[in-house]
Amino acid sequence: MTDDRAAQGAVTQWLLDQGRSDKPGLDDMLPVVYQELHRLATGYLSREATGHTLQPTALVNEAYLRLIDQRRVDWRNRAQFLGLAASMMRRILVNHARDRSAQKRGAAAQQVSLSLLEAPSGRPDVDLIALEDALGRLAAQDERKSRVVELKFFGGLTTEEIAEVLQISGATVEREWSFARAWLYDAIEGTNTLP
Amino acid sequence: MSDARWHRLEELFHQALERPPKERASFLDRECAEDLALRADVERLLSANARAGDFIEAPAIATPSAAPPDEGDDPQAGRRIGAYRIVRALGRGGMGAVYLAERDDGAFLQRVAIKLIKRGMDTDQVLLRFRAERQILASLDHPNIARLLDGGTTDDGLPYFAMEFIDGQAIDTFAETKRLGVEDRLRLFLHVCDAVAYAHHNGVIHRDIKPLNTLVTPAGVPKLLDFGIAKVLHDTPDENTATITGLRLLTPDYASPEQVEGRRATVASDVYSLGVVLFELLTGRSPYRVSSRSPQEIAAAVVTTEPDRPSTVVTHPSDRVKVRRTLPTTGSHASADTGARHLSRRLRGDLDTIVLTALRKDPDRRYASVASMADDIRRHLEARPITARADHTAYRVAKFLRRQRAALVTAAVALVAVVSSAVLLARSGRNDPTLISTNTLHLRDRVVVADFADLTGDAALGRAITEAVRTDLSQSPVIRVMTPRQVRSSLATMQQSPDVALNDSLARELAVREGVKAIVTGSLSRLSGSYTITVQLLAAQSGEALASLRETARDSTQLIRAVDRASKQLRQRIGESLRDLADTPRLWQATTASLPALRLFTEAQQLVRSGDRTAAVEKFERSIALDTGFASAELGLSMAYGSMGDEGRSMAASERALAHQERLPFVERSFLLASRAYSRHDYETAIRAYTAVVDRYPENISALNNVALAYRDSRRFATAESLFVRAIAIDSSVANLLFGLHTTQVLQGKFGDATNTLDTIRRRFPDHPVYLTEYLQDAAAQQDWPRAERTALTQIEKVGTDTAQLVDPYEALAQIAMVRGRLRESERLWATHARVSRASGIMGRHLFGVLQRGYLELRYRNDTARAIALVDSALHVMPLDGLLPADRRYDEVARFYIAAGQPARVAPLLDAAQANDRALRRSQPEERLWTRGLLALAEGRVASAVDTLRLASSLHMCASCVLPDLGHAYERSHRLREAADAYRTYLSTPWLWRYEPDAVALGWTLKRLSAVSEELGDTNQARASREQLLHTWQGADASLQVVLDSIRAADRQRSTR
Repeated sequence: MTDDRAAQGAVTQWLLDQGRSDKPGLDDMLPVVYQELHRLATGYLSREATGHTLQPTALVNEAYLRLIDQRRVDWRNRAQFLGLAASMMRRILVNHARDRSAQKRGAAAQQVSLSLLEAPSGRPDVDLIALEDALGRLAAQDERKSRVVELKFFGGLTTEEIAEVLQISGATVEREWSFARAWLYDAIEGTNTLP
Repeated sequence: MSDARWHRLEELFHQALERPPKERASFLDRECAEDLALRADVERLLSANARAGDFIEAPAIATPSAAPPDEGDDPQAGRRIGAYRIVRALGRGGMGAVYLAERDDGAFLQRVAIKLIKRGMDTDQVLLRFRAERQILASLDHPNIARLLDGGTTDDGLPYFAMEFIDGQAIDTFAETKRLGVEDRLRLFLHVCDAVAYAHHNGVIHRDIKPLNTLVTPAGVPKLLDFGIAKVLHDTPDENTATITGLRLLTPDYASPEQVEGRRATVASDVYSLGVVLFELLTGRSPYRVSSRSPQEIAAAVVTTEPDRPSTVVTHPSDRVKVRRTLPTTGSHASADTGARHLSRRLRGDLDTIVLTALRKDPDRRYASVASMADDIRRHLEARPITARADHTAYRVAKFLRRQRAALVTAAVALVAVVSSAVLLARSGRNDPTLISTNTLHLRDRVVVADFADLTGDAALGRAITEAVRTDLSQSPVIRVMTPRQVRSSLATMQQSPDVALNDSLARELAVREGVKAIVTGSLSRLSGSYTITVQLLAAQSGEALASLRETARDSTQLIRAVDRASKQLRQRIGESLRDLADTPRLWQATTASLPALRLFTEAQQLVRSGDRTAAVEKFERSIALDTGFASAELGLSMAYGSMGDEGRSMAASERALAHQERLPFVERSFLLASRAYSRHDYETAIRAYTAVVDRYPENISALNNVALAYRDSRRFATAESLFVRAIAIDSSVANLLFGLHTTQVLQGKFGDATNTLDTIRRRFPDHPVYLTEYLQDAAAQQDWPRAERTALTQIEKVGTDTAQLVDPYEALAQIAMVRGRLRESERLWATHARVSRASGIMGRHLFGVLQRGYLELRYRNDTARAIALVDSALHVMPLDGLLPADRRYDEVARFYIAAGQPARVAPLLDAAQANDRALRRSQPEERLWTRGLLALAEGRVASAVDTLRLASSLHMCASCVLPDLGHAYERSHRLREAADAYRTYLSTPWLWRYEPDAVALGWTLKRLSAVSEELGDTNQARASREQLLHTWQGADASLQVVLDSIRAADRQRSTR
């Protein structure tokens, strides 16, 4: 309806402005973005469907579609938006997962972990909390690698898009990603998640 | 790690990967010759890299909803839907997209908005929501609501509907653009109110009123939009459908405090949102001050801070108030300042009051309806006095201010919460001014109900009638009744026995002490078969009669009706509106229409209070026999069974109560729903339901107690502890609270505090029947077996004839004996346990005992055949399916069979467990995971077993119970360090019934830990474990002494080496 269009226009303009000026910090639009992500995430997370898997990148994309008028932006703007949304989404999901595991609810629909991989590799779900902890530790050592993972995993950005957001080369992105992935895998495998 | 080292690590990693695998080793030899630690790190990463597989690789962004649109044209443009042709997309929502379309019938051109389900989102749930929205719109026909024009299904079979297309501006923008003054804005706003009131009248709450949803056409006609998330007023949602019909986090700026906190929206929520819109229309500013723009800040402000007065805001705006629009014009002025002052004068008084009334935190204190709000606005415009009253200072510190919720803007999952009934304030100008309207009483003042004087010679009848009156008054929203518990507690401080008859003078004295203004009293008399009941409201201090009523009943069958009439009349006199009274349940709906049933019920309650639960159960059952829909009695029955440990029967009774939940008062109904959720392990729902009660009745310690338990059982110990402490502060005479506090302290390992609590209990409640059990658990948690054993024996001594009370202590003794390796003694005790549990019909525990006995054979005697035979024969006599559903321990039996080397028997048990849980609407994935994990281990799928058991352990209520198995799984996958950790954690985590897992696993775990520690080179740990084992199995049977001997021998060898 018309209300969406009005809101969409405002957010789009804001996104376009981001690229142009040196506007640091919080802005009027961030709450809108956050809200949208939150709405989407909680919508997915509270569905009763069993075995429902959550793909954070899908949510981020949906938020993007909803909030931004695609006719006015290009792929670079999109990358920026997704970059922003990725860290918000990560926060939302991790908080949710922490709530869930504290409550020990474990209902079938509320997967504590994120499931990215279904039948193909047969790997068990990634434990989101373990991932979050590991990411935190990685960030303490190397902020950029952590950011690369965040953008890719939570934001679904391509290598090119990540390069754009972080202002580094595509090859660097690949290197960062491959090291970070191995490091995280090792960190999580070795994690003592006993209570 | 230092930066330099980190970068070196990275470098080596990449360089190694560039080489073929064969050459990597020599490459690393060269590069890390002197730094072995670095080499190890690189190798770990390389290994991780090799094993990572698809780990966190970017997922396919394949869900249809996320498919990016084609560049340029809308793919839907030009498509025909029904009689319309789509022009372009207007926006996309959660489930549907909205398109601008045109109807081209040749004769005329009409623009409409078509709402269509998004591609790929055609699940049943979404369809349901979509249809619900369409139905809602179809039912509304109002000039200020966007009208539904048409609807149907597309060629693909998906539903759509067409609405009036509104090309307009948001109401505040419109007012600014047209430079409207205060009057004009108010008139515009009235149209919006009319629309919302109309929707309410048709049972629809909007839930998302904000300027963007209240558009104004160029012609100046306001139109209300987007009922997409509106809910129908009269639906009572099932816990599940609420989530299906969708939720959406609202813009916190316009959301009411209760919505922000995730409660259900009501008529009052819409009133609030309208209040915010009006505030902004009149001042151009938002009502709340925030220091940042984050949604959390705004949400917190909505819930906790008071808005400034509109008249103040326009002249003294805080810079933290969000400016949205320019000020309304008030004619031409010399300067902006004079303009603002003029506006301020205009707004002061009535308009301030109207706006602030709508914005009150407590929904009950806002306008009861949009119509009454609109009414007041009209009165103001006509220069007549308005009905709303300005706030008293006392009320300003609303109780809602005190609550600071931590996570305000988190998932607004729909709730089981009860819709609070809107309260109509008493109107002035009636013939008999009500007590509230004359300020004799205030809204929600407390009253004490005294014992009705019984002049019929039937004391039990008098008590039953008193109870009935109390029940009915408790349902009134205008008054609060002191609960019997509170009364008893107060009597205790007055040095009175809690069972003393509460006559008028005592009641008045009590009331004065408690700061309660009035008491309710009355009498029941009989004259040749007909009854007369009088009810009076007396001022506590003076004894003056504030209200007096009399009702008669032809005979005893009409008595309850008479009581109902009397009580309702009293409520009306106090100030409850006729309309509310008409809506409230009749007394017999909340209790029973059968007088004998009511008497039995009252007697049963009395028995529960005095502790004779078995007798209480019998009376409850008899009262239900007289009135099969007597929900309150079923509830009482359920609680009695629960406190006797008979979970199966307790659940069955609460299910029956639930079948008639409309016959339960608010608190009771909340409790029922909460306890059902609790027994289904749905702690979240239980917490919400109990919290709803606590919010209305902050002194309700039963609710506090229960919510604390729910937190405890979901392992949020600190919260639980603080809630118990809070409850104890309200009423320290309730033993349960102290017991609850004790368990919570034990579970946190705060043994010192726990001991203090136990001492307090012993001092305050000498001879309390539960004390010994608690004491036993305290000992067990600390693995002080001698103390635990002594306690259990004392318990057995004290038991009279009630065999049911022997089950627990014998179980404890049998387990403790097993822990200590005293196998023959344990066998004897299990035999007694089996007898006693069967005799008292507590089959759940009987079965449990059989399984433990089986483990004895399995673990300590290695006699698998005998173990299986024992369990098999027990199950043959008493098959699982023959037990009450809640007692069917499928998972535990399955795990036993796995341990006994019979994994083939597990599959049907798992299926049955799943089906059983579904039937019970219960969810215990931790049990399933545990079983599956063990199965995986037995079948050699070690890696899977580790993951599964780890997850099970993190989910299980007993933090340590799964750990021995997990440790075993780690051992099998050669992860010795983790195995040792698991075992150690198991040994050190406090758990109230430690003897349960310990009976089966303690000795064995100590042995394993010792062996693993040796292998890891941790000789100290190894030795400590052996010593603990030697100590624990001191008096063990000869067969186990052999094991100990070999340990001692090995020790001696070590020390001579």
